[in-house]
Amino acid sequence: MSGALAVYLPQALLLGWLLRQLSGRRPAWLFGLLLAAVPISGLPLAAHLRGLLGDPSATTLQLLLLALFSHSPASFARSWRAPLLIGLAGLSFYALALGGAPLLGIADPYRLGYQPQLLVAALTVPVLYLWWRGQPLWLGLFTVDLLVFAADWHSSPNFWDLLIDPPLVIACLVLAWRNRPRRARPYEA
Amino acid sequence: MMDFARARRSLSLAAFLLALAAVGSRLQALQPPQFVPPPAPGGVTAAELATPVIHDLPNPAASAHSVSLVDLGDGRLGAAWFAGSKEGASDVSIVFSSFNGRQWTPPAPIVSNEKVEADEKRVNRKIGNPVLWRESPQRLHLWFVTVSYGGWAGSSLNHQISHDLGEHWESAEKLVTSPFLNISTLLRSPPLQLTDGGFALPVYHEFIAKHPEWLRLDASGRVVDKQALGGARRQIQPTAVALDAEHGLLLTRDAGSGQHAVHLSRTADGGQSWSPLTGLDLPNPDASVAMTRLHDGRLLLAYNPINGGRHQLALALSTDGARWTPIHLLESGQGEDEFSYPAVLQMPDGRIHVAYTWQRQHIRQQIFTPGLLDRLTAKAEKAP
Repeated sequence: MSGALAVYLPQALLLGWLLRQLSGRRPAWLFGLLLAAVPISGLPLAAHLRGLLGDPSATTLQLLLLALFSHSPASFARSWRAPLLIGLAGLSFYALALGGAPLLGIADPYRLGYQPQLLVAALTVPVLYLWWRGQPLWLGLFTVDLLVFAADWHSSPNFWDLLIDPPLVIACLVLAWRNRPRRARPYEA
Repeated sequence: MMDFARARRSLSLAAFLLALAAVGSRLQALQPPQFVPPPAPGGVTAAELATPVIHDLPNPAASAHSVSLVDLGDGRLGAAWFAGSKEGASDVSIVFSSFNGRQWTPPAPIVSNEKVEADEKRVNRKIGNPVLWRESPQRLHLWFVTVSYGGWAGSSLNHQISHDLGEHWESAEKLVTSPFLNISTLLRSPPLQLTDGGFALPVYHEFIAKHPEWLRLDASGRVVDKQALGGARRQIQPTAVALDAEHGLLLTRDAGSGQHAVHLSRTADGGQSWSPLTGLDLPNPDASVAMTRLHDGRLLLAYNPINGGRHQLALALSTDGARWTPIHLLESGQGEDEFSYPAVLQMPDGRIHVAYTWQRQHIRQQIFTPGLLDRLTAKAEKAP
């Protein structure tokens, strides 16, 4: 039972967040959590979502929990730069990993995630820079990702799958669009 | 307030350094892979055969496809295939049977949609291609593909283990091998054993692009490395053999390169890197091929020797993997007849077993001896 709860809860959080965004109402979280348990063809809706999406990344799970407790980072909730950067980087990564890399004759970037020395080193530099500039969010997310990887708590042995996932990439692109800078309208009386 | 913020900053840095230290052991570089070398040539203890011995395996359903063979180590041959009303149907299960030299046991279901859903706690719609492999006297591995939503291009890999040669099986576990919804990793051929206790599994990708991939697994079955093979486009279902600790080769099914030919790639570093795939002078009608290294060092291939359809199935021999001599036609039909998805294996007694899908109705087995292959080769070389 606890095993089922552990694998279904992230799907329930994802559903709750989605309904919260669509409805704009806070109780949608609770509705999403309950909806995830509704059985369809003998399995809870969460099992269908898990069949489709797999397990969310550690980063997504952290952001969902922050959103649940009304602590969504401003970098995601109000800014467009970080979501756009993550969204575009994610799109490029998936295009290469799904066959673009062998077509272009270059190494598959997903391979870097199995023995992620280079990946960890490459990400440590910007997160430490951002921490030094007073943005500790990224260091915090990265720290938890590393701990989950060290403890082997995620279903994937590839570090990329702890960093990002398709729902996060799609959500970032939507947030970047929603938070895009708009020209100020003239005051209307 | 200022002190609190500063303390929090310092704490987050300390937590990061702690996490970095914790993850340290998983950041160590992998040892270069080495294949467990093939066994030295041994004597043939099985009685010589004048002609191939044919058995039709019992099938519990209307349809059967994609057989995998394994040496169970106690003189028996094991086989797994998927059976159901038709390929992709929800009633398809993977069944297991064993052959004692005279007859096959009634096939027993070892994987079903219900079992996968219960084991993996996620919805599952389709079951396909099983691959059996015996690692130690009693430990049997089964890898197979499943689909939650969509077609076969949305497949992912699963793994389960038996500790009593297939009588009972542990829970199935999903292998995560692709970053995008874990879709499109499939397999068809057995792995090669590595000297570190792990395996190298020839797999393939077929969502949008089609290419072979090479998975390296540790002794526990966890994926530790993956690479996509380059060269000719639209090649799938690699079948691989080790020639020695460093050298190996793989052949692929041509799924639309335009050449209609079996393709070849080689490694000289235990599978760490592979040469670009190139076409051979062997026809392929977009159908699975199977290769094994015989005890005497020759390579045996089962394949459909035509450019279209699957109504002929044949054997060919090679000493280098590049030049092949067709030696025997296993089946020859017409038009819509289907003899496909072969598996080949030589047992320690020297007998060579070829199994394949027969008209989608059941699995057929043909048994050869090395002497019989020699006679068939001599006959083929004399033919005009």
